[in-house]
Amino acid sequence: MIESIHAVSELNELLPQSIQMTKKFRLEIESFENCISEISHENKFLVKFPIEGELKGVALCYLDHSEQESEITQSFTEYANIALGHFLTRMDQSRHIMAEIAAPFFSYSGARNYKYEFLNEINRFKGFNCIKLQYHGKYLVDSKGHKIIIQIFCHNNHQIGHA
Amino acid sequence: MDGKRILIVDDSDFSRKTIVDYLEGSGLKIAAEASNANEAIRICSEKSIDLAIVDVVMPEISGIELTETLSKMSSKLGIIVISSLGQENIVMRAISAGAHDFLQKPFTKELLLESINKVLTSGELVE
Repeated sequence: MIESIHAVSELNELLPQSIQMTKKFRLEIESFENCISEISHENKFLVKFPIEGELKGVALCYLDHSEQESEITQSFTEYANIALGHFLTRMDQSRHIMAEIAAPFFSYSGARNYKYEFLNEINRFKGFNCIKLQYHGKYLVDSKGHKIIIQIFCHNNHQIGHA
Repeated sequence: MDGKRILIVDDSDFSRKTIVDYLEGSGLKIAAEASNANEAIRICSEKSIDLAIVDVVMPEISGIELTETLSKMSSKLGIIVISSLGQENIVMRAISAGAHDFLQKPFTKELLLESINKVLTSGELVE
């Protein structure tokens, strides 16, 4: 199953290219990589969604805005939730892989925490056939753009060589 | 639909606010908001609610488990389940749990009002 996921060229299309719920906020995805890289920027807001079901893992969603409990971070959390919900819905429709997101966790700390989160996920997934996806985009608030990164790490419990 | 009392259950403040904005001027009354299932159960046991809008992904108790509990508490309560997840499996679980309709996020104001109208006037709710 994992090989078939890696084989598909439409992975970049699983996440919606644009989401708009209100006039004020819009999420746009601009580029996609079939790999992940360490996040090094300071002062980012991180919302982490566990992924459960036939795929297990996590989605880390970063925003270059750190004001705690602001309308921007709250709305970004909901937009990230919607983007990932559509990602998993499309995964089910195109690959018949059923997975869900669980309630999110938040962090308003700086780069040190993100490095820990990142390395923790990398270590947790060692030995598994993993999907590692990274999307870059922007979160527009009244037309002002904030950079965003969405990283998705997941596996289907199959060890490397036994998928 | 005038005067019908609505409960919004979603752990996202932004999502609840968006729904409140959508319902403004519709004649519906926002009776209460809850950010988790336990709060929603308490509100439904204390207040008269006509319709609950329930999000699926919430901490501790999911919206689908909450729907099952609420529909057992009152057969007169209409329930619309909302979620960013739109898999058939989740829609079916929500309906089996007692939901009268399911909307995938993001939805428009028009779609939400249409769903509320459908649920409140369908005759499925036992008086």
